[in-house]
Amino acid sequence: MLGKLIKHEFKATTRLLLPIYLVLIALAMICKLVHSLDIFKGILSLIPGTIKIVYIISIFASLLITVVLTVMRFYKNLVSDEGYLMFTLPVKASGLISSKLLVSVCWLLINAALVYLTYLFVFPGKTKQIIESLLSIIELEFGSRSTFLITEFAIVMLISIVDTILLFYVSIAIGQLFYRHKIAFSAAAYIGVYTIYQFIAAIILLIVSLFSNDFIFSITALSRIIFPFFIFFYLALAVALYTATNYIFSKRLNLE
Amino acid sequence: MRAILECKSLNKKYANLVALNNVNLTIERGKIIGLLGPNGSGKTTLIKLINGLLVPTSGEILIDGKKPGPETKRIVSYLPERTYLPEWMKITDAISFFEDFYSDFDRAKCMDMLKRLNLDPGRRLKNLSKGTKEKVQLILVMSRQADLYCLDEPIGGVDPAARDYILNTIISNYSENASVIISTHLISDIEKVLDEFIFIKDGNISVHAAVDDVRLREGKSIDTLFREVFRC
Repeated sequence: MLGKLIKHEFKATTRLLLPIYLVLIALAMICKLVHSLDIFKGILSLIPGTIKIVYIISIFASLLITVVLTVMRFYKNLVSDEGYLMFTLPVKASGLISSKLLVSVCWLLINAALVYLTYLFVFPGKTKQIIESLLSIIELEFGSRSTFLITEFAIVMLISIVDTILLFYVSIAIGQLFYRHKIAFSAAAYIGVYTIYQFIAAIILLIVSLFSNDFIFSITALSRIIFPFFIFFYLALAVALYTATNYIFSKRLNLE
Repeated sequence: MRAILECKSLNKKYANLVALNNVNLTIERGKIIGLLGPNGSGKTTLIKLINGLLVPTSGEILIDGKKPGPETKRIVSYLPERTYLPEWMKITDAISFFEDFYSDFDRAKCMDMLKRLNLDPGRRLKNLSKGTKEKVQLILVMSRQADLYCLDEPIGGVDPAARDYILNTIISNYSENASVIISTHLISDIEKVLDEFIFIKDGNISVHAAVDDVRLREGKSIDTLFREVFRC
C-alpha cells in the first residue's frame, strides 16, 4: 500500500511543483543566452545583471516554495476535507505520513540537483572552480578522512531536511487536536516544539563545553565526534517527531 | 453471523458539548437503516466514529468485531456529508484512486452508473456543481462491494429525479450480507427503502425499531412519527 500512496502522492505533487522547476530551468536558459550575447550597450547593459539576479533569487525561491507547497499539501490532504478521503483508506496513518515525507524529501533532492545542474550550465567555469577549490581545501585539512567527512556531512544535511519537514508535520498534527483555530494552534505548536528542541540542543552543548578539552576543537574530532553527534541528535529528533505525529494521527484523530 | 456494527456505552464529548451520550447499538447484516434526527443530534459524529475520523471519549465501537482501523476501513464504504475529493482530479483520476486502494471497487459498475446519470468521466471535479460532485462521490462509494455503507446525507443536494435513481442504486447494489446506514432528515423520501430506523436526539438514541413494526403497531409512517417525537 505504501507504494500506491507514494505513486498518488507523486501524481498530486508533480502538478504543483513541476511548473516551479520549469521556471527555474527557463530562467537559467535565458540567463545563459543573455550572457552569451554581447549586444547590451548603455542602459541596456543592466539587463544581463538583472536577469542573473532574478535567476539567483529563483534558486532560493524554488527551495522555499517546495517546502511551503509540500507542507500545505500535507495540511490540505490530511486535515481539511480531503482528510475524509485519506483517513478512510485501508492504510495505517504511518503509511500516509511516510509517503508524504518520502515524496517531499525526494522533491527537495530533485530541486537541489536542478539548482546544481542549472548553475553548472549557466556558469560552467565558475562552478567547477568553486567545487575544485572547496575539495582541495577539505583535502588539505582532512587528508585521507575527507571522503568520510563529506559523507557524514551529507547525512547530517539529509536528516536535518527530514527534521525540518517533520517539525511541520507534528505541528499540524497537534493543531488538529483542537476544536477551533486549528491553523493558529499548529503555528503555536511549531514555535513550542522548535523552542523545546533548541533548548535541549543548548543544554547538550553546554554539557559538552563543560567537559570539553582541546581535542573537541581538533580536526579529528569533527569526523569522530561532532558529525556523529549531529547525526545521532538529528536522527533521535526525527524518530521522536515521526512517532509523535504517528501517535496523534493513529490514536487522537479529530477531523473537523 | 457477527453483527456488522456494535456500539457499547459509546460517548463522545467535544470541548464542552456532549455529542453522543452512552450509545448502545447493534446493527445486524442485511439491513438498510435510517439514522434520523434533527441537525446537531449526533448523526455525523456517530458515522465519523465508525470510520475512525474521531476517537470516542469513552466506550467502544466495533465493526465486524474489530475497532476502527485499516481492517475495518477495507469493508466500510463511507460517503461524508461534504465534498472530499481533491478538486484538481478528473472523475477518471478519482476512479483510479478508488480502484488502487479498494480491492472491492468495481470499475465497470462505476462507469455504468456515471453513464446513467450522464456524467462525463473526463470532467474535472473543480468544474462540477456541488450536486454533481455529490453524485460522483455517491457513485464511487456505491461501486464498492462493502459490508457496511455509511451514507451521511446522501440525497440532500441532488434533484428529486436523481434522488430516485440513487435510492434505487442503494437498494439494488448491496448484497444480503451488507448493511447500509443512511443519515438524513429527508425521511419521507427514503422511508420506503428502510428496514429499520434509529431516532437520535441530543446524542441519545431514543428509538431503534423495524419500520414495519411501527407501521403495524402505530399505524403511521416514520415521517409522521418523527414529526411527533421531534416537535419543536
